Amino acid sequence: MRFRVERQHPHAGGIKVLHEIPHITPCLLEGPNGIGKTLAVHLLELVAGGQPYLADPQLWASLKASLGPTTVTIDNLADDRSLVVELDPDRWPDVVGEPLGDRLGVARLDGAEVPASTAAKLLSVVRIAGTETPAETVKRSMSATRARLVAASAAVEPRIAAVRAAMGGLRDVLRDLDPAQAAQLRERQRKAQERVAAAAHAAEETTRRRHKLDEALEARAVLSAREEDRRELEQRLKTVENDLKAARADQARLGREADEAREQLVRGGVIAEQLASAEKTLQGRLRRLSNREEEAEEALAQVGTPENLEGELRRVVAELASARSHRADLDTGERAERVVGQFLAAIDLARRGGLADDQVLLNIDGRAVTVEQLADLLRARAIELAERPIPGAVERLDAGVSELEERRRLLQTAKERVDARERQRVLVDEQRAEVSRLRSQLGPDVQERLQKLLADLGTADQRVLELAREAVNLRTLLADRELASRPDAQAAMDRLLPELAIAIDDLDEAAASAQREDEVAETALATARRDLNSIEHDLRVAALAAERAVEELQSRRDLLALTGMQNGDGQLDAVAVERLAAAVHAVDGRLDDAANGLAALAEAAGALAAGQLGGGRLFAEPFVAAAGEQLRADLDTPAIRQVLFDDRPLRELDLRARVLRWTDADGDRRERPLDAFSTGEQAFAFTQARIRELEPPAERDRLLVLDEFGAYVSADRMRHLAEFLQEDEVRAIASQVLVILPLQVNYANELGETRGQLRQRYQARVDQLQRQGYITVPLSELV
Amino acid sequence: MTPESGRSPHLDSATVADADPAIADRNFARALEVVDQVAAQAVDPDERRILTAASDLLRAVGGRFEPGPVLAKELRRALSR
Repeated sequence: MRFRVERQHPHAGGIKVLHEIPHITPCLLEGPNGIGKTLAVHLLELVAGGQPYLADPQLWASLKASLGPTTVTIDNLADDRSLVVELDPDRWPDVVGEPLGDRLGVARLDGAEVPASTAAKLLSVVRIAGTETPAETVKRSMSATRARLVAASAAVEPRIAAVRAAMGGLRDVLRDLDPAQAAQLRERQRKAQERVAAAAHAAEETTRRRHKLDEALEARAVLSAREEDRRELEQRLKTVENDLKAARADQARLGREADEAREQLVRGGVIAEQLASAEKTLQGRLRRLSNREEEAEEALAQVGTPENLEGELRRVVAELASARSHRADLDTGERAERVVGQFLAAIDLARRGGLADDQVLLNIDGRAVTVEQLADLLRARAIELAERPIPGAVERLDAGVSELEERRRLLQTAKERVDARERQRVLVDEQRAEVSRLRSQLGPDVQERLQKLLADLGTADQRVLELAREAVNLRTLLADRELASRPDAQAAMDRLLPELAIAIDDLDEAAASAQREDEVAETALATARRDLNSIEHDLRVAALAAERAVEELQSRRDLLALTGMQNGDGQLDAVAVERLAAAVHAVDGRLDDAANGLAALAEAAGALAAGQLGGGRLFAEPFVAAAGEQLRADLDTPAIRQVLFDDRPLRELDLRARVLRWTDADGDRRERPLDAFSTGEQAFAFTQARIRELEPPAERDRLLVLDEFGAYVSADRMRHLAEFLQEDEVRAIASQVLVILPLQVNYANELGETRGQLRQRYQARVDQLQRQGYITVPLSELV
Repeated sequence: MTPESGRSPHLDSATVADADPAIADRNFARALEVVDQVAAQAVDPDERRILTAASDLLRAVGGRFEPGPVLAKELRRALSR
């Protein structure tokens, strides 16, 4: 490719740009400082979609301000194409780091306008600076690795998802299977079965022991029996039977008494109700008595509370009659008034009864007086009499009579109220008597008595039971004594005690203990059986799930094809589907591992790139080892060995310790810190390593620029580098290589000292310098 | 002056990688190299297991990819254990 850079204003902004890189590869470019060699390369990097100013925002700002419109022409691209890009810095982003994309400027490919970002698809520009340190190489190498892993991871993710999706059908069929759980259950079943067997065995043992102890107790009983004992037993039995009879009688009596008390309680209930009612009535009567007393007191107070009320009343009534009579005597007019009134009343009555008004009633001195006339006369007279003035004595007597009438009335009221009070008192007394009678009928607390009777009855029952039991025991003993023989009992005892490993004195305790142990063993056995049942139930459920899965799977040829399993021939059964479920789970795990593995590796690479080599992170150790090994391998080339390691193989690159190790010709182990390599050595070794990292560009051209090497690489290393750059390995990753050096020689001065081919070369260089200010020649001239 | 990362912009985009099988294959190939190298250095059994799975899977899903055959192979491998 041929690259040309033309600025609209070549000298503006105080910067210069190299204006041509010829179509030579590999090409050596020598020139003095300040002619814009690196700037030209950076511009090409920008055109090719890179951003060389990522770490230099200030330089970017300066470039943007100073460059001005610039045209970059690239000829001899693949397929003989030509690209012209007119850079427009005014459109470039202020913030470095954003991809330029189409804001680069205006582009034309073979004359036709295309988006400026097209250039990135056609051209790659890689610049390697000789000022780089090994640490930066490691960092970049790790960054590149990380990028590859991230890309691979991103590409792999949808594919993993596709595989999982393909597993979807199987998962559905196997959804209820949990092989891990089934395996666990089977293990638990086995253990539970063992426990049941052990518990059954233990229960059997304890039962056997208990039976032996019972037998020993029996034998002891026989041995301890004597003839005297028998009589004693019989006597005892008789006593017990008598006691039992008495106890039964007692029991019956208490029973009867309790029944009576119950009845009384019931009756008492009725009387209690009556008593409550009577008390209520008494309360009412007392209230009314209180009212009556109050009324009587009030009435008596009004009449002055005489000692003998009746007497007083009688006296007032008599006095009143006397006063009235006296008055009547005093006031004849009153009599006349009365008579007239009576006559008038009789006439009116007769008139109403049909007596005619014109009926003659009287003849007075020949004058006939009719009914009506007589009535009128009588009426007039009544009025006269009524209007007559009452004599003073009569008036006074009237007043007295009024008073007496008033007093009589009050006395009468008082008497009535006193009578009412007395009547109420009687009622109250009657009611009190009734309440008293009912209370006496209720008697002492029947409930309490009943409780006591019941308690006594319980005791009596218990006694009867015990006595009955004792009687039975005694009868049994007596019966046994008739049948059991002493020698047999002794033999049994002699056999049993050693078997039981106890002394005869410990027999009772051992029997009690054995009873308890037997119960515990039975309980343990029941528990163990329950556990086993539960586990077996779970296993049955799991087996059912497996059977169902088998059925489903049998109908799914597509899934069977996936698994490689056959239907029929008994190959597809519950065991097989369980294995299949485990396999699905395993595949899932592997897919996870793969995805996570890539991600974790990418992360480890990123950490390494950032200089964080700390352990503990997943894959940190092997990654560091592998990265170190890769870099070692990259450095372990004949050329590098020869110049750096005494032509010996490089044993190890320890990234953690940052040392290189090799064994020298004398067999001694050598090591040197990475940072201790001279810059010249670094440049050579690491440049090679970096170049090897490059990916081949996909059907694009790539310009590989080695810049600023001159200060660091000695002449012989330069030759090795030049040889390396011409190898097929490098050709595969870059269609054009450019090595930029400062002027190595004062060619004009040296011209006179050279002859032949070298002189020709120098001359050509002098010419170039004069013409364009820098030299561009094939790199092979160095070799 | 900043050092050039030396990596292809194509590697930044999985979309591009997927669209371009050749690039996807290269990614896989280089990633596989890294995985295998690290796996060779792994001593821890868990790390080794994960890396082996990653390596196998890259080989299985790289290049032309059909989920069915990959799954079938994985299942049969798991069943044979």
